[in-house]
Amino acid sequence: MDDGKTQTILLSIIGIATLLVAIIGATFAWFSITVTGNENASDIVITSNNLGQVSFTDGTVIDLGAIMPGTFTTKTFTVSQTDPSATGKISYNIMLNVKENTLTSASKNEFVHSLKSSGNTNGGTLAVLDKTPVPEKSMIIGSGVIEGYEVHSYEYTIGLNNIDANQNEAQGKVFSGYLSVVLTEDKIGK
Amino acid sequence: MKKNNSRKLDLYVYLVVLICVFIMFMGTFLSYYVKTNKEKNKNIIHNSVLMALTFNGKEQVNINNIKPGWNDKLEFSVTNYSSDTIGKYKIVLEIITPLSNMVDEFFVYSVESTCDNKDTTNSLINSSDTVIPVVSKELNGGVITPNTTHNYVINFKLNKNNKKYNNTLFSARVRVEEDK
Repeated sequence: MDDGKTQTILLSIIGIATLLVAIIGATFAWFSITVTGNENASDIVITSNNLGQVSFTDGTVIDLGAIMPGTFTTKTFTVSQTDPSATGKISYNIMLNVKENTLTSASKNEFVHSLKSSGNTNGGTLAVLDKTPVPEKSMIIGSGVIEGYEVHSYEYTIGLNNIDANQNEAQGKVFSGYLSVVLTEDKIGK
Repeated sequence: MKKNNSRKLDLYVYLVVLICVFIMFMGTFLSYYVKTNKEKNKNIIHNSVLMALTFNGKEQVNINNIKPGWNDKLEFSVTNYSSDTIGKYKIVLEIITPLSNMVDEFFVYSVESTCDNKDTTNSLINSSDTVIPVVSKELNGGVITPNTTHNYVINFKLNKNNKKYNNTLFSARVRVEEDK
């Protein structure tokens, strides 16, 4: 008889303990649902901003008419992040937009352009060109990546090489166009 | 009597166990519900706005020994290179060297703007002649849709008047910041 009573008391204690645990568990779940549960849960949209700056110090337009061999025109520009505390990347393409170009075909690859660059202080990528024939049509002439806060400085030079040969064919030929910098979206990790 | 009490106790225990089982079911159901809702919240969309401020020429207005009738302008553009995200920006008119410590009613700026996209979501910053402040000023309200360029001209002028401006300097520039 005593054994039965002891068993009943033991069962009661276990039962009450289980009840307590169940109540605590259920209460916790209830609070969790009231805090984080949302029947109308919608997507979380995080928008990050990247703001670059492109500065063409002496304009973008290149007009070369009646160009003399050995004559070169220079354009300077910078591409940078605007925020000195920036840590992200900005990729960009440098474009030569050609409106009219009769010089390339007449110059026997002596109508060339170059791009000198500096400023990749955080290990960013710079575009470089070294006396490459100017394309007849618009094209991307270089690509760069700004790492964090960097100011990429460029010096673009375009002109006709002076060679020890007859360059009369280039007489009267023209080049007209402009430079532009286009930022490109990095979809990785989006 | 004792047998009756024992039966009552057993009944209590069965009742407690039943309640426990019920509550545990409830707990399990709620936990599952919480879990599925948390999973719903896991859809995080990360958009990025890629904008550029482009200057085609000078970035700063500088004038030494200003005279009434003087005027100058800053031209720049703001382009949103994102393919799917609308950008918000503000123009900060940064006064590097004010004309004097007090505003001059004759010394004004205006903002003209054009957009290459007819989408009415675009919002440009415009301003008719406004007195140039002595400290930097934010011009809010730029909203730019994807693949769009906003072109700006900020005109500065000192309207004709009879005041003397001896060896007065003025220097200002603009920068664009994201508008949160």
